[in-house]
Amino acid sequence: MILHPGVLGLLIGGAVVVALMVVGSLVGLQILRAWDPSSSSENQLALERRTYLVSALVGVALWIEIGSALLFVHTAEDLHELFVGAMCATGSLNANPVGWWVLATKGAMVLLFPVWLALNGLDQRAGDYPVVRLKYGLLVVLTPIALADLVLQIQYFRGIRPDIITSCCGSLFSESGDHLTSDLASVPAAGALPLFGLASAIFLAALAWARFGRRPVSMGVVAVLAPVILGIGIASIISFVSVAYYELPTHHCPFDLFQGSSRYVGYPLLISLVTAVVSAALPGILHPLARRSDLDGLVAKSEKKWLTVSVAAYSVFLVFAVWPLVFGNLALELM
Amino acid sequence: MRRHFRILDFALASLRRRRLKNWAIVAVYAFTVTIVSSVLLLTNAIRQEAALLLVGAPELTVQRVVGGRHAPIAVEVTETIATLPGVVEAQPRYWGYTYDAVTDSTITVIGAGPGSAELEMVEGRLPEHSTECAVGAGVAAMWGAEVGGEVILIDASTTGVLYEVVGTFAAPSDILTNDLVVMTGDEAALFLGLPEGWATDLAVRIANPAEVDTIATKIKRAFPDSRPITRSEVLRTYDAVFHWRSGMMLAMLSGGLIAFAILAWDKATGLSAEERKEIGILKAVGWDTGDVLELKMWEGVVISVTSLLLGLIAALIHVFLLGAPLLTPVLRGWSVLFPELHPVPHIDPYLLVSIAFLTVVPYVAATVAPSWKAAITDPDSVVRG
Amino acid sequence: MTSGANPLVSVDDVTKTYNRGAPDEVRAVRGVSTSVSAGEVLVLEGPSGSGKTSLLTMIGCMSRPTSGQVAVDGRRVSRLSEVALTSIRRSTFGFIFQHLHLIPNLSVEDNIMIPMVPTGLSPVEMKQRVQRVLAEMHLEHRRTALAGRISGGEQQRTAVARALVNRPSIVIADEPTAHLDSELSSELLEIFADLNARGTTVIIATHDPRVIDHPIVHRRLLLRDGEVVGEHAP
Ligand SMILES: Nc1ncnc2c1ncn2[C@@H]1O[C@H](COP(=O)(O)OP(=O)(O)O)[C@@H](O)[C@H]1O
Ligand SMILES: [Mg+2]
Repeated sequence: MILHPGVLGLLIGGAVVVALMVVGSLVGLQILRAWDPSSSSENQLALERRTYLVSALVGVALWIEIGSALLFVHTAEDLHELFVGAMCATGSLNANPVGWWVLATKGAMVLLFPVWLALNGLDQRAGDYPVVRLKYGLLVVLTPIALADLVLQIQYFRGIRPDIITSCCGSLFSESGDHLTSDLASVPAAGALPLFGLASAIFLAALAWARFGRRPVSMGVVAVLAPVILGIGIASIISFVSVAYYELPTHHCPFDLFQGSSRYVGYPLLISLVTAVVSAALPGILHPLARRSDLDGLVAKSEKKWLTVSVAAYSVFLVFAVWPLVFGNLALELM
Repeated sequence: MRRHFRILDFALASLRRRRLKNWAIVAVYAFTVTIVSSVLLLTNAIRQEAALLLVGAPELTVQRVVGGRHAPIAVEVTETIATLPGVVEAQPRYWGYTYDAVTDSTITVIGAGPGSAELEMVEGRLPEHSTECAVGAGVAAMWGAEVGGEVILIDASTTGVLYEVVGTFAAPSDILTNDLVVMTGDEAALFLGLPEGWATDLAVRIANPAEVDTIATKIKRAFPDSRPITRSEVLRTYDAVFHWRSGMMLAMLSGGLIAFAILAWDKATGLSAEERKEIGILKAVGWDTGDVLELKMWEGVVISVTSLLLGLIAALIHVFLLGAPLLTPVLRGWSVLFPELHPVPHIDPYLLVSIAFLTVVPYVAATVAPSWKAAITDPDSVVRG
Repeated sequence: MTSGANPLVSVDDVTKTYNRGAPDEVRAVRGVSTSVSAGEVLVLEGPSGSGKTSLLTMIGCMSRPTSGQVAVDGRRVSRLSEVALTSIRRSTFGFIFQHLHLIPNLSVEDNIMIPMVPTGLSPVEMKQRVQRVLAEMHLEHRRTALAGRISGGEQQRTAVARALVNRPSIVIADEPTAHLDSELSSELLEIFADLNARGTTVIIATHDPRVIDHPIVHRRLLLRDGEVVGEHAP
């Protein structure tokens, strides 16, 4: 086990999130079991008060999780010095492949928690707690992910020893390897760039259509596009954004973007992309709730807000992604 | 959005109204942050010094191993190694430790050779005669010896030997030179009791870093009882050791952190009658539970940020200006002559985030439930008050 | 005036039972039905313990009835979630409490701001509203004074200002004159008369004859042991 300040922070953070989520789900289950909206008994009142406790617990858990996801990337980055053959986080993650699963659970939480909180916000403001069952049902699903995240993290940090010889981004993100990531890396920028541009244009157009037309179909389309855009965005980062930032035509590793030598540009790229994708998916996911009459106005108001946030966040992402192509030294070679 | 700012505003105002209580919390909180950050800043600084120390080290060090233990190596081995293609030069090194009963400390003795030329002298020069030596800052301070003075050291045959001090070292890295005495190579071998023709280890310089591993393999094949160690290996070991040490210290500290979280819990739960009434008023005039909860969480955030900043500033002063006096009792166990640290102040954003995770996360988590308890105060309790 | 075509508040067979099922169960309100129309001044009259405060908190969306229905502006509120209930309470009702309940170490202005904090109004709008109610209550010169350091009459007016700042259509006062000398209580009744003249509905719970017999009162509801035992419309 490597004891390292970042590792300890992650383990403490993971344990705290699990504790918050377990308490939250237990209270949630308690609420689900005895929930009776028609009653005005003291018991029902007490349950209603507890819904606030659950919201606060999950809200705090989300913030910790966002910090923890970024801290994990950076810690993997920092640990690479310990491994022979590792030049960045890819090497640290390959040193014990469980690390990739940690990345996956953290990604899942960062994508799913905001959905839960949005649902929760609607439920509380609606007046008669219309989606209370759905809400706590979902919470019980989220908790195991938090638990898996903690367990996997412990396994990951236990399993890495400084004498491990690992393979790094050189092989994973090279153009000749046999991984999916290698395929992504070898997609010529000349092909990837137009695809990215086209996808971005479609996504923004769909967002505008949903934002101003506000037809259920448009929300659905945007929600379906969102995960696709997440995929294309990450693929584009590997395929040409990283290359343009490093100004090295063959270096595709996305993790180096999180290093000081790239001015930490990976953080704004990732944060803006995830924000755009999550807030684009929310209206489509939650729109069906608008059919309940008492949620109608609320859902409509929130939808407008989320779609606006998505457009803004995606624009930020575009600026960061396109910047080095326009102003970098490698720009012309790639085009 | 505005709503959040208004509530933050109100949180600031209400923190200000209970100055005494809140400063007390901030004081304890900031102290915890100071201790945690001091450990991290200090170990980070030591780590960097260690890395610095290895910059001048040879690409390859060759030791001999007997029965799994480091043993002297024959000087003539250098001749064979020097003939290997890619090797620039191979030199014997003489070094070891001696215990000095007078000052109750361990001193590192090194023979002037390939590595020592890179040590920066404050004053004087490297020894040229067997009766001369150059000393590190720690040794000089202990003996009160300046250039031109004398030190008496106990050699391998427990005889006191008198040396004239001809130079003192400056330190790009305090660790390297602090407890150091440099003698001529032959004198060091004699002093340490090495048999004639034997050295502590060999330093091998290699022109092309890419060939280091190949050459190491060749040496190992030619001399099966040798152990070639590459510089990057040493670097990694240092890194691992220092990570491990700071991790150990932090693990011990986490006991303190838990105590701190409990204190925070206690402080937050122990709402005064006045505060309870105030929350009742807020509820009665139109705040809902969520609003009060947000107020309480903002208060926690403001307290955390304030304490984090104050604690960090205190830690920077403690470590970089004062030389970490609060930690030296713990650190003494590591090295008898622990250097007085004057590392270059350097703040790594990653360290800041780690510190925040180790302190703010437990605090905020501990205050969720008590804040909620405060927030569910019944609005009509006020009506009857 | 008992039941207008569109009552502002309607109360339908409302009960409130505390500690239900426990040995110390209290049936504070036992099946009250009435309605309040816009512009009315209604007094809930009855001895201590007759259920006035309990009824008042249910009308003011501060607590929920054990059974029965309360509707405000045509919207049934008895089963609403706390967030929804609070938002109606904030926009419709202004409360004046028996013990004023100002925060003593906060300035007059900040006390008045409190109900606006969760509404997310702009700072400019907030300032303007405070300015207006301060002027109405003749408190401009006390704007920055601590609420604990001003005279009883000024505290009284600060509490009223706080109740008015969200522009409620209904002002609710629970025993507002219980601790006031006759000068202050007639000053307060003047203020109520003023508010009412500008269209605000006023509901007062009291057993103070100075209030009950005051000419501004349109209607009196007599409560005994949680039940309405009489109604007067002078
Ligand atoms: N929170 C409570 N818990 C238990 N009993 C209560 C509570 N509040 C009021 N009561 C009881 O309900 C009855 C009516 O009280 P209240 O509504 O305050 O009447 P009033 O305002 O006319 O004095 C009283 O007997 C009182 O003791
Ligand atoms: Mg009363």
